[in-house]
Amino acid sequence: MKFTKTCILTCLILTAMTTSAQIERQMDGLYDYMRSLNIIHITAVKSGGSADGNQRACGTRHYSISMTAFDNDATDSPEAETVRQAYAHIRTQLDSINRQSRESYLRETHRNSNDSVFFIIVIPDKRASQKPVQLPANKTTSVAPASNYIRLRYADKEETIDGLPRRRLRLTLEMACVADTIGRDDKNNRR
Amino acid sequence: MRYIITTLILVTSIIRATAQINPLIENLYNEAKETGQLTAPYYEYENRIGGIGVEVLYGMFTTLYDDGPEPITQIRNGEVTAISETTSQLVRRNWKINRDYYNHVMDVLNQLGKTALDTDRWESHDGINDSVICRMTLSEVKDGNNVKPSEVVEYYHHPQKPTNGTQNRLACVSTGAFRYRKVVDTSNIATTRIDPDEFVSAARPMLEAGSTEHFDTVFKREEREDDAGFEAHATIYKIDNPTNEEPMILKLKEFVVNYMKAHNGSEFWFSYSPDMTIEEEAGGRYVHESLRFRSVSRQYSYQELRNIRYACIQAIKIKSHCYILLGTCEGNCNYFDETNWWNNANTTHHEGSSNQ
Repeated sequence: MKFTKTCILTCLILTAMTTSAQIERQMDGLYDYMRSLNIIHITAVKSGGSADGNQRACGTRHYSISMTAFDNDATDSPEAETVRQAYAHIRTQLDSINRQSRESYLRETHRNSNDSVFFIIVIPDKRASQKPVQLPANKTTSVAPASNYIRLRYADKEETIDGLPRRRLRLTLEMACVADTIGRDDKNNRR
Repeated sequence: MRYIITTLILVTSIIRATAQINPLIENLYNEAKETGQLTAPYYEYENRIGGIGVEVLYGMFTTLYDDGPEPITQIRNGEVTAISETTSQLVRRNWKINRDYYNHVMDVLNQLGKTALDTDRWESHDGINDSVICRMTLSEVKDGNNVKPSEVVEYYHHPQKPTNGTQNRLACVSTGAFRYRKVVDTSNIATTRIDPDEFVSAARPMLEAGSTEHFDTVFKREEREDDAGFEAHATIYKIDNPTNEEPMILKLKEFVVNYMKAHNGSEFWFSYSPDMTIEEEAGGRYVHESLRFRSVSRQYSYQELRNIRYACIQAIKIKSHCYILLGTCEGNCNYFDETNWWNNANTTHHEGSSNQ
């Protein structure tokens, strides 16, 4: 029985580690993708990690990237089109990651040609295999941010700027990941 | 410690109407129907509330814990016992169907969400146990000066692990439900109303013509309570042969739908339940299926209903006999349900009725 327990526990930990590492790679990919876009209004913050830049080694990684673009009077500007494409790409990635997440909340509206998306994904950690998340029947607020999460905000709205109707696009991607939590626990378990 | 699992799928499903349903939703319904794995009765249901409306309801109840390789066991009288290989295969099969359908519904919801006006979705994933609550507004309709949701989709899927120990793989229960409601054009709800007499006049020739072909008994009954200002008239038709029931009900349904389309904006309530759950009432009545139409919305308060006169057509099956009622009533929207008209229907002669 003890052997069985140990096997199951090991399997769960390995599964969690595999999932976590996979999502980390997807997050890295999203970050690199955002950085590769040649957008003037882009800001990127990547914090945490070791001094030599080895983000996977220890500590918390935190990415925050936002893009803002305006269209031209009559047609979409190249920047605006880039933001739209970036959103479509990231959204596809997040839909995929979401299936592996611990918990997520999506609020999306399409009204009067104005689009708005708020999507937060809580990434699984070791707790996921021990404490299932139960959704309340009348849940009305967003998922509380955990240490590991991806948050996407996107808005494509019509605004009046200098008396002219323009479209403003905003895309913000924020990612946080405690990269080595599972590994550290794993080491402790092995001791 | 063994991890145990169980799956048992029960799907009740209810559905659609002639008003146009979103094609993706209609596909979901048809697929649920075609899978044929459902061990619970499903029933169809149309509900028209003000304007033409459609409700699609689909319920899914699944025991679900995990689909591990260990033999499936259950706890009986405190003891862990094995289940037969046949049952085990059924449980695993149902588990897979449930998972596949969950994934399919989520894909469809993602697709609908791209154009939906509003989407709120919460998900929880714990290994193979997925929970989701999703609500979408697909379109809106103008109601007077207000704009309100016209097409609403709701879906929830929520597995629950067993609370009496993990050995009992047949004891855990998951529930799911899919609901789709569509209401169109209720802008004239307060001003346009079906003329009850006109409706009855239009419907009667069809029933009278059918009486020689489908019915062996036709009788009429009237009630009037002058003090209360209450008045009801109805003719009850009894279908002679069970093989005539379905064609006749479908014919009536088609008539009602066409009539409603021709009177768009009218108030009415229409429901059709071909496979509704057997209902046992105090009088020993068993209703197997029913079609109900009333030319009045059920959104009225009781006091308001006291002053409304409406047309009614109902078809219900009682103790293996099918009856159709056509009439008008005022003062009580549920009059024909609440009184003993139906219980007396299998009596050809009774006080207040005349055999034709």
